[in-house]
Amino acid sequence: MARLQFHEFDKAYVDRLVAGDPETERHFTRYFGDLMTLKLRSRLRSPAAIEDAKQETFVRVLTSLKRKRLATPETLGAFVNSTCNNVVFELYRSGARTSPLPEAYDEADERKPPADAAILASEQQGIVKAALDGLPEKDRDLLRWLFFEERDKDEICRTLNIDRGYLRVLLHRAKTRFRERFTDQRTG
Amino acid sequence: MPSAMDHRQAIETLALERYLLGEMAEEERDAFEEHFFSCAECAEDARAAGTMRDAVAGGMAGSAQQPAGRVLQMPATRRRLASVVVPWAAAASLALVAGYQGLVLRQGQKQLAAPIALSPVTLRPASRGQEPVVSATAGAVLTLAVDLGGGVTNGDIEYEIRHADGATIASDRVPAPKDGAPLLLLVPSSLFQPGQHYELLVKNMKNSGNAGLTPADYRFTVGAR
Repeated sequence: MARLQFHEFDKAYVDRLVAGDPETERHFTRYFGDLMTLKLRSRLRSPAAIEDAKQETFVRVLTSLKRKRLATPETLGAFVNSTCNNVVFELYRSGARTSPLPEAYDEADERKPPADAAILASEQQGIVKAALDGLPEKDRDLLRWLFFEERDKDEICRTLNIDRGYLRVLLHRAKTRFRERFTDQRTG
Repeated sequence: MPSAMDHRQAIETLALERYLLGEMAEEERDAFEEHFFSCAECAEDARAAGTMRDAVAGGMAGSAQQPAGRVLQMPATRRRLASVVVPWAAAASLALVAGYQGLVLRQGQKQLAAPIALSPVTLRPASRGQEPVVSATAGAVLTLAVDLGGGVTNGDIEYEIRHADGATIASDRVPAPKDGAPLLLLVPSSLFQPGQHYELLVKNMKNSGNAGLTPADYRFTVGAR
């Protein structure tokens, strides 16, 4: 998650995007790229398939915007989301979903990113790592059980002697603390 | 076409947490995605959460190579929460006496000549288990220890106590507790009706910087006097 300046999705933003303004394009791809990664994680198992779906969505959105501007620029987010839905639907229909995924899931995408993107990613990793290291141990344990070890959630609840509702609350707190520390690291 | 989810609904139902936990049915998941693609606030939260999840999935929060016994060494949350509340409550009792004393002195009843031990009832978010029963004694106060989750570190917070029918019986703006301590409230028991249900709402003050506070309500029942 790169640090991004706040942008209103208004007519001026869409005009800059269509005109190829580099900063706006960078914001657009990072902002919606992150959201699409989150969304596509539950639908596509392969990082390469996720990346392909994102790129296809960006191309379609930009092509569409150049052909015909949005009547209401504020709906840009909804437009990106629906375009992404269409891309995923087409991937499903083309059978991409049935390709051998579990083996590919942990493999690195062999396509090399540009050098500046790699440096940014490296800096970003350091910030994320520092934010995670700054969390209380109980938060790190919970996050690791959920997202690394992918333990059964009912088992986690039994271990902690809590119900599923409270598991959500604990995750909410861990996420909030992460976000605070992440923001501090970036701005500090 | 998923039915729409608005921002309040997303916050109140901890939609992002349920999304991350894979607890949403397809239609609700689609509705939430439609929402966070259009809501700047939820989008920022979702981006941070996605970053966190991916980093943890990539092993940045420690690996699975740690011994399995480690899990068992972690105390259960109920006990851990209690250990936060009880020592703090004990340590804070002296400070609380001042609040209690003020209450008594304002009523002109008597001078406080000795420490008073209070037994607060810990309130946790409404999603968790049954409502605790708080006993009220005529002429006394109810002592409530509100578990805020440890995320509040500065600024002010706002609380409101409501009867189950929605009528507000008390509200105020108070400094946020420090260092994960619970919010302790002493409330005259005369404000409550025995056998009735109540809820306590705690929220951030605007621009208070208390991003760590979980917006939550806490429900409890007042027992017979």
